[in-house]
Amino acid sequence: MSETKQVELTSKDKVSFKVDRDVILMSGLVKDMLEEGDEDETPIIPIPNVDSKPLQKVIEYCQYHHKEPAQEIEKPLKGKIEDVICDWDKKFLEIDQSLLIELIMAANYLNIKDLLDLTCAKVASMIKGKSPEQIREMFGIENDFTPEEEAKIREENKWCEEA
Amino acid sequence: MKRTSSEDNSLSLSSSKKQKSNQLLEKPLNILVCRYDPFVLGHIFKFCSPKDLPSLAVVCKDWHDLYFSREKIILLLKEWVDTLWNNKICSGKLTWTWSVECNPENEYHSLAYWLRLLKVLKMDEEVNAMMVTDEQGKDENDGDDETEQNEEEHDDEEEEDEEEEEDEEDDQEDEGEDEENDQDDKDEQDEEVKEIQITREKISNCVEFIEMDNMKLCKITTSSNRFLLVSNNGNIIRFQRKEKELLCSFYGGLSYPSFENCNYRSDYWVSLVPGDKGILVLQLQQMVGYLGFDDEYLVACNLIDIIGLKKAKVSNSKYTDYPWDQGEAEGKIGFVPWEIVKACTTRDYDISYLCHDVESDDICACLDDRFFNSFDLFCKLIEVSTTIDTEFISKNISLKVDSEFLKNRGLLKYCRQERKLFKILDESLRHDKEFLKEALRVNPSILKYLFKKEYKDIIGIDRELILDCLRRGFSISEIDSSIEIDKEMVLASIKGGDNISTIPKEYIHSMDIIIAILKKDPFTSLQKVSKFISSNKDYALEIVKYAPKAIRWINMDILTSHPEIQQEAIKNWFGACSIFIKDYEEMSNKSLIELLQRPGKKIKVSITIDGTRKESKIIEITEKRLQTIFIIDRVSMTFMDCDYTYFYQLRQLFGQCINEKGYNAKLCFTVKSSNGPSLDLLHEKIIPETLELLAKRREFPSQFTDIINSFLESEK
Repeated sequence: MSETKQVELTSKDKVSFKVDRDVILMSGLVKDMLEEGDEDETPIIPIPNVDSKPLQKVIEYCQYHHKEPAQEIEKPLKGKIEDVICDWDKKFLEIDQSLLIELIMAANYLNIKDLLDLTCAKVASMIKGKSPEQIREMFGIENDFTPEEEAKIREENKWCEEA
Repeated sequence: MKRTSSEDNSLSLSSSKKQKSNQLLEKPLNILVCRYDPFVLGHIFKFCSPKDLPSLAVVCKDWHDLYFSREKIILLLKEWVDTLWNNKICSGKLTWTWSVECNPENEYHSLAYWLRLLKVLKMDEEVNAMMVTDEQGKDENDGDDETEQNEEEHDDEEEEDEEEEEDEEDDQEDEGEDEENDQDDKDEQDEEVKEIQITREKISNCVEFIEMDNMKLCKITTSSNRFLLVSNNGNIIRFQRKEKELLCSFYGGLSYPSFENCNYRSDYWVSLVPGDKGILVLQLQQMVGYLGFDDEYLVACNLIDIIGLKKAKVSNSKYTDYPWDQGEAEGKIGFVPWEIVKACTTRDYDISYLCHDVESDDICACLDDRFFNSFDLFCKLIEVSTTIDTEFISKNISLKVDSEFLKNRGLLKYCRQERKLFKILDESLRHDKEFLKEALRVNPSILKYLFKKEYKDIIGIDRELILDCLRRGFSISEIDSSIEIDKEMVLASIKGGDNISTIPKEYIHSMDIIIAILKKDPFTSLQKVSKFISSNKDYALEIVKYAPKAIRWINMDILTSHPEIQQEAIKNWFGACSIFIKDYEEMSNKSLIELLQRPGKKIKVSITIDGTRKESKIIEITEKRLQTIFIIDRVSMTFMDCDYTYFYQLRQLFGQCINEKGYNAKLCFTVKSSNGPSLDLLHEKIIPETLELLAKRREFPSQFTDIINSFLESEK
């Protein structure tokens, strides 16, 4: 029985993670890099934009969904995200907001579509039903519309409420 | 998937503009905004519900320009609609693509339409899912629904043999058959529950096209008891079966919000089996028109078949000329809710009988959605609401309409016709002193609906305005308790129409107030002030000038000791003399003789034949300035087979300036006779004999008779 090939990922804070090559191939970025290198060696791949904590979560996600492919999340979300994802994903998303954002950035950087969908859908779920003021508060954004401009745009987009 | 490096392509939000403070910067999601690229945010927004797009579009200018400009929103929604319709709803059976020729405005319009159509399909799916879940628990109601369906199928077979014109009898028979079938259906209920689930899965979202009258009608069945009709013009009608009823809802369409092609839209469900055929005819006509067909009897018959309105039978003559507006429709606006829109868009259309005795909540529930979104339509509703119950405007519509409507100064003109409208205006208007003053000028009755604060403002700035309102009809009885009422206000309100019953009680003993009321209305109920006037000579004298009938309540001792009160009363009310007839007989005769014996007198004689009055005067002598009183009497005589009734009246002389006309007095003979005697006869017979009779009956001054006779002789 042949030994499973592994890849060593080094995070921004210099922490190394050994992970099965088949598992980490879920990452488009890693896949591209591996295709360029020598298959016989245990490659060391630096991930300079991702800290060890989110990287560890990314690996955890890939290890699970390598065997259990994630189901596509409908766009837009019909209700709460918890209603459309599996139990494992629900537990996986029980993280604080900072880690969630780092995960989004990591998923985007590593080009892992399912993880990016999952984390982005989580943020969309947090936005759902919120007022503009609440969304600004959530994202730390200042309103730079005049009341008249805001009213005009609101009026323009009123028809979306049909949805 | 687009991927960019984080730092270089960070979202170009100016930190000075977008970041409120360091505290905000510490928010994790703010890191996403500041440090990451537009793609990630865009990806997040793709998962957001279309309902959240309006909110997201006004978060900040950068988000609006990058993600939520009108064009970008349309792109987002198109993608969403494509996915839902082509993949989920129709599973590829009915592929729908965007027309390449669509201009942006149409595209935007059709998107709104498709969103609406998808919404209703999704809703029906959800309802269906819920019902299936209920059935698994053997829910009795759903079992009944199916039972009804079976009943109707059974009925349908039997009805094939029935004569079309015998509608009423048919219905009675059907009801009897329904009852017979109920028991059998209940026995089979358990088996049916299992079958229902299978059937529903099979027919879910079944789409069929029906060619009718050179037009295509799309019927989308979403569950065993729910379906939609979508016509060429894009209008949607939803249908659902509920127990014995077939309900429909005009759900808008492609042309919405244009009234021309989509004249009604609401989520209100209308029963199509009201039992009143006239209403049913009207409903069918509305459906035919709404779906864009010509209003023809055959089209209506086809429609009845398509929607499965099995018991409905309407003959051609009834369809084309049913007198549905003659009583049958009274109070049934719930069955023909679109008539409200028709009334608002057709000026000469009166729906008062439809809305008669209907609860205001019911009317609000069936209003077209546009009433709550279009200020113009809202105004039209107010205009026509004068013919229906206006109360509902203030009570219910104000809760549903766009709050901006109620800030619109254009509503001022409607306050003229409906003061209650003022109640629902936004505080920004109600507390605007200039607006308030203007509103009170338009309709003084608005004063009733002012809150304490508004009162304070008005009184503080313009007491004259309050007085003006009272003078122009606002009742002082409706004035807020917080305002202190004074005599001037009461007098102003009397001028405006208040009476002794509506003024504050503490003022009914004020002579000024009573006189003001009596001047305005001498026939007012004087009993309320009788105690007050009965024993006060000065007040009694003053009051009888304006209300001589008040003499009834004046103490008799005061009256006898003060003849000036009697005379004042008689002067103003001839009937008052009946109270003092004996006292005045002698005085009357005396004054009459004095008049007739006055040197240089000249008497005008006029004769009027009056065949209409019940009682006619035969003698009236009038003279200016002489306060002479004449006695009333009545005589009857028969002449040439005609009965004549005469009387002469005790009255004080006023009236025309006969002196100016060259006479000292005027003697009038008015004779009541249906046969109308000739003037000769009057001169020769009737008048002399009447005078003679008069003289005999009462101790009438002989001088009077002599003078008259000699006068008549000279006239001859």
